[in-house]
Amino acid sequence: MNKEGYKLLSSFIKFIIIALMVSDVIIMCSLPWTLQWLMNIFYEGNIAKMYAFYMVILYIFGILMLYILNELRVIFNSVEKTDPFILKNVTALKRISKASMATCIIFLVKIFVFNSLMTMVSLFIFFIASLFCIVLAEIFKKAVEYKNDHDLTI
Amino acid sequence: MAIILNLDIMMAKRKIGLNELSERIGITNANLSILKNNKAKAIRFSTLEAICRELKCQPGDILEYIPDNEV
Repeated sequence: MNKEGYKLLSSFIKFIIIALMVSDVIIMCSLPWTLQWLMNIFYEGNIAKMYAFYMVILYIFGILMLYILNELRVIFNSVEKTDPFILKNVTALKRISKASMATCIIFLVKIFVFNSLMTMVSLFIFFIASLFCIVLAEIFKKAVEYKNDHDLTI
Repeated sequence: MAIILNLDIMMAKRKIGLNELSERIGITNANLSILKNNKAKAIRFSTLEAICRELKCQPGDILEYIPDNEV
């Protein structure tokens, strides 16, 4: 890829990450009203009880997503500015993995309280994402070691 | 590390500076400093060859083995 193309792609990805973070915050701020509105449309039965449960689940989920997006932003900034093979990125990937696993646990709780097909699919996706990030973190760790060796070979 | 590079001693013997040597062997000043201060983890044969050629010495003149417990 030429320099212009790479610059365009990196700005695009940066824009998407920032846009997702902003929309995450907006959705979290408007959650008390939007959830009420959506539950009135789609949910029949005791709304008050389920409302509190969904509020807790969605807020924890929102915060975790914000955390994951922020770590992704950190990794992407390092790719853009210097080089990605630094220990900071290994830590960021491990954090993403832990956050994904925490999301997995939230969905597991939701399965027992109020199950749906989408919850099961999400649980599976976040479990795979967590494993994927752990593997990637280990690969990055090795790459950092190789890079340090290479840099100190004169 | 048990392998010590006595590059500074040989450079002093040949009365050659860091800048001049780095120019002659074709590596950067920063990399030669890493070598001189024994911070390097490995040395390429091509670099060693260039250093020996310019300093007119043998690898044994600049490389020395000292066991870790004696350092």
